[in-house]
Amino acid sequence: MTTKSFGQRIKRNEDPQLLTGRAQFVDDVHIPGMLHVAFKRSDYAHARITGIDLEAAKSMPGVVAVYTAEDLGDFWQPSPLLVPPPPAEHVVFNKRTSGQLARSKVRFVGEAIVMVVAESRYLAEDAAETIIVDYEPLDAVVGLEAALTEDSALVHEDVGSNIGAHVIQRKGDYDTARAQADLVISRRLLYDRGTAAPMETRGVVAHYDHLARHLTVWDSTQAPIPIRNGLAAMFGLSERQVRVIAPFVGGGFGPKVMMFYPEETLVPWAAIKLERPVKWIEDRLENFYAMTHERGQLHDSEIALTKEGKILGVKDVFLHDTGAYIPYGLTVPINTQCTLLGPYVVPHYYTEFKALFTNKTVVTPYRGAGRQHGVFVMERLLDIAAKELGMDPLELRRINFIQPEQFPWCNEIIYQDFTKLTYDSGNYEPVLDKAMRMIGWDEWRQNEQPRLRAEGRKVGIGLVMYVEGTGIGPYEGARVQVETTGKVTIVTGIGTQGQGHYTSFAQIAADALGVPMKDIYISTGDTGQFSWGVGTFASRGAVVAGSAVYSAAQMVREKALKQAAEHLEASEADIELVDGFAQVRGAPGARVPLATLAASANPLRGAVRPGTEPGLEATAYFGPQMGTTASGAHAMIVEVDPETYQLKILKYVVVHDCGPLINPLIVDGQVHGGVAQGIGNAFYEQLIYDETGQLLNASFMDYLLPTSTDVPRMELGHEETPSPLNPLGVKGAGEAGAIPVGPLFAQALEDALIDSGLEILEIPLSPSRLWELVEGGDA
Amino acid sequence: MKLYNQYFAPASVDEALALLAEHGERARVLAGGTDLIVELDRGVRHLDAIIDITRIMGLDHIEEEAGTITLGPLVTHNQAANDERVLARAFPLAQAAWEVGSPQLRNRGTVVGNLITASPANDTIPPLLALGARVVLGSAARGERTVSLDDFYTGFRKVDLSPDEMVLRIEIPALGEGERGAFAKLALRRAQAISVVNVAVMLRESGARITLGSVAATVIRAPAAEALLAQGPLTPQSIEEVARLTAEAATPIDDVRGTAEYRVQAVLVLARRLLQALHTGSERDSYPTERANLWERAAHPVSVAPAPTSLIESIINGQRVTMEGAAGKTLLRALREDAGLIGTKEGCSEGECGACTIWLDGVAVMSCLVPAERAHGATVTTIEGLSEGDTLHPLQQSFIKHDAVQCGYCTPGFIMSAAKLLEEKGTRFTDTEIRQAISGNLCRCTGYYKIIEAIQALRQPTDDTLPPD
Repeated sequence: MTTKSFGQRIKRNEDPQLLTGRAQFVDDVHIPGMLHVAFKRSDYAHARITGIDLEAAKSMPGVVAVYTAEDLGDFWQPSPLLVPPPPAEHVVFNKRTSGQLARSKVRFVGEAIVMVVAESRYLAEDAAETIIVDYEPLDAVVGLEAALTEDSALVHEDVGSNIGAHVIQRKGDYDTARAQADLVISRRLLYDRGTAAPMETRGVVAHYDHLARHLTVWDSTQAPIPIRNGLAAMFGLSERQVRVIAPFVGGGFGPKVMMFYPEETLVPWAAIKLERPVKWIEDRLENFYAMTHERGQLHDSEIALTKEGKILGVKDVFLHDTGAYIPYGLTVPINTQCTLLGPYVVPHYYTEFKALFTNKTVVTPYRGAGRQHGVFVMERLLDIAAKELGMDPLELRRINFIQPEQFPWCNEIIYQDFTKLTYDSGNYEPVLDKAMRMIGWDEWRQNEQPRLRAEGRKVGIGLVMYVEGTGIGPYEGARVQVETTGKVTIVTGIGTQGQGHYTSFAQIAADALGVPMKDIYISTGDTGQFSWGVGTFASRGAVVAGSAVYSAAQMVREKALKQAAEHLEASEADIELVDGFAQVRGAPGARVPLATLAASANPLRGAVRPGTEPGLEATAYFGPQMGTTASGAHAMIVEVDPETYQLKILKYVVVHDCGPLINPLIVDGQVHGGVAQGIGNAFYEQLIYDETGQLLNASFMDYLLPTSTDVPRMELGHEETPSPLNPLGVKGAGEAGAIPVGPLFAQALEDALIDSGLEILEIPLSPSRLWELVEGGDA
Repeated sequence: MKLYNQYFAPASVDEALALLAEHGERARVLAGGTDLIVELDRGVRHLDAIIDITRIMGLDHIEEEAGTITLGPLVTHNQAANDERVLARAFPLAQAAWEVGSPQLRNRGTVVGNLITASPANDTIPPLLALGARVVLGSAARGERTVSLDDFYTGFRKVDLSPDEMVLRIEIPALGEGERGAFAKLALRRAQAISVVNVAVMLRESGARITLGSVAATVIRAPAAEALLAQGPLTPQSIEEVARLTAEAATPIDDVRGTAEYRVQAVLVLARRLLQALHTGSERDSYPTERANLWERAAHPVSVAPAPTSLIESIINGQRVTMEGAAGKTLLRALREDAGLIGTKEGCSEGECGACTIWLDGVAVMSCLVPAERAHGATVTTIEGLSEGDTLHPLQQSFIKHDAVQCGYCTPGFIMSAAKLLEEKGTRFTDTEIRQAISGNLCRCTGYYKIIEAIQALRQPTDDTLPPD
């Protein structure tokens, strides 16, 4: 067998295209005769629309069509609910999703009101600017607590309140646990809004071929197959008449799963109606308003412990800001509920949330997808408890770990995949130990930190733990084919947004089929190539689609072995697949190219045995019974300027356990990128709204993504606890980097500013906010 | 929308002034365009015409005569940050210019343009005001007049400049023997961030000046602090008192970058630190001796060519390319839509993300902030021009080896910035210069470290390990 590629640091297949400017993203699609779309969007967070004057726009040269909600007729529909509410103990859910264009009322700044289609983007934008919308402004629902007051305006009057959902889940009996506790810590914790800000904004190009009666849509989506299915249903077409292609996608991070965005249905609709190809590319300003946001929760939380530090129970009641609509169901707050418990034994847990409608951009999952909030709450409560108990914060964590022999560990409440939250496997102490070693915890605490503090420097250390539910179902599929050239094609339905799927999937197949990596072609995200699947989200691509690739490749391997055995007149058990050949083990002369086997599996004349399937090809699906739980620790040493409260990260360590690594190079990259986003989330990025619901910093000038000067070098360590839930033993890695950074900053900054007695109960922070907390008497 | 209807590229100042006289408020002079193009793209300013003065020879000169340093209206921030005369005798201006935006923006944006934009947060205004600089304005009707910066700012983003006038030069009384000054800013990110506050302090024979940005509607002075400073030499006690009086002069507001209280605190801290540095003579210690400018020569990209007609002809990646219908667009859009070069990406349209980085006449710039017409007669290099057939540029190979690519959308911009660093510095550059070079490029996937490693690998001697900095 050729060198195993699983586990190797293999260079990515897709890079040369991307590096030379020859990779096609949606904005790079150009079709002759193409029309362009611009939207007139709401300037108000909350207002009744009393009139729309389209006359000027309609009469402009080059304008082909101008549509309001009225003009859409029966096509105007609230978007489907993407994820239904979970079957939890107590669930109220008020489904409200948005129509493609606002009708009678706008509910957030940037909500689309009118679509303009013109011969060029410039003409469309100019025409959209001439449209005059008359508004009757309404009070905006902005703050979470204010949304629940009796005199609050209502985002959806017919709901009767601003409650989009109310869910209660419990494990055991928290109240009884609390009564037995030696120590109860209660705090109010805030986690504010941010945005994913992928470098590529959203975009859609649609082309309807009236002769072939076939619709092709290029969409910067993370979930092309559900988009295809939905569009087919909306337009009364067969799924085979619609092809959705997610070409190279310039970063997704969650918001590009959302379906259906209004633009995703309107652009194809216009293409069909106008019999011309139609293109819409979001600009950065629109992206700040119209692509979904995340974060935004207010927690009232409690932890009950014994005086020895054993956790007896946790109670967490929180408000979740879902924005103007709730199309993605409850994935984010459910993730919060389920991730909060972390790697710890928490015998009793009461968790309740209200998802609230506000006059702000819709909230759907963004990298971490609610997990951050839960980890923030738990880790903060533990840090505060450790102080109260006079315990070392890491020792407090250690004595509460779920032990390796206790897996599978069931936390009883319902997870985002509607199964009871169960950790499949884990081993947390080695993760903690390795992180402590790598950050140099003991040496720092004993020697370095006292020395630096004596010099007057404000230096602090932090270490936090987390688990991450990954790799959830329902399923993905893959088809693996050996072509008659001997080259291998793998097709799968998920989309890819930079995760290196082209390489990881090729590695899995290369090992099964004994073919070189360079001979493997991968297609992802094209419904014309593969018809079944769900999408890339929840750190599931490598786990679920990777396992499907593995199964399909194994099936092809079996076929090849069988054929080769006949061809070489040898026993199947003696055949090995090496470098594109099937050969008899120990007799390398006796061999046949896979190409020959592929050709003979596809005869052009003659007869085959009954039941024969043509081709050296197989399709397989993988659906895990539940998600697999990864875990990790992040540690950091930070220095704060004692006067300006600017900070410098002196060292950053991540120890991560996502099972065996398919490609460490790619996993490292996923972790690096996640941490960078986590750092942004913790200290640089915050969407700031005023009381009228206006977003005040919708620009990269004031919504600050960390640059290369702000992200530190990271030292990475891996533990590999395999998952029993899939044949590769792998767990997801996509979101891990981003999840625990908020509480890590809080812990390390408190340590750095220990003299101030600062207690950090909110994320994001900034130099200004930190100064206020310490100096402004705001703490 | 098209950014403007008419584009003029006068060949002389007189021609430019005649155009201004003709078009008045419906036109505006464009130099670097780093502010103006954003305003036009965002629809906050509507113009019929722009008058691009970057083809007028000589306007990018820095001169020094009889104690006066003169900056032409095309002097870029990078020029100001690197010029020996500015460094020697108008040092705070060099400091401020170096802190503006990113290398790509500093290569296009001009000091004069910054003065005209007149944001109270602009970095070059406080040092120029503290230096006692004057602007010389010209108009076809009234000839030249000189206005002290003390009088130039008449309100929030308002300047004493008539629609038919343009700034012909800035005159800076150069610092003499024994005269010193320094500038500092505080921002929420280490690079490419708007100032929360900025402060300049100048100690001269004629008296002291302290100026503050981002704490009032215009850049202001701190008269009480200046008066105390003028009374005698700096002592630890006077430093504290001057800093306190400086902070008292600030009347900031709360905004998304910080609260008023924090700004006052930041002014106090910056003023104290500047005074301490001046006291100990260490004010130059923090100025980088190694600077990545992403240029090959220190000059504004002036290509001598006639103004374009409806056709824009450029040498792009070594080929003569004619772009039709590109007038009124940004160069980014023209390259993508009219030259068919899709490798250059649009990420923000405001010069903040660097995905659109190209080389214009050998200098790295953000193509989203360059009017397409500016490429007429110019030499342009895009990502497509970096590899030769299937042979990748060494940097592209290094990006593959070090796994520096994820989604790939920002990648062309990073390659263009980093490749220009290699052209500028050869194989000898520091980690700091790497970070400077890519400080104008945002990546949302990689966390940057592998990108830095990939660039490090191309220096001699190669050094794959990045010490924490």
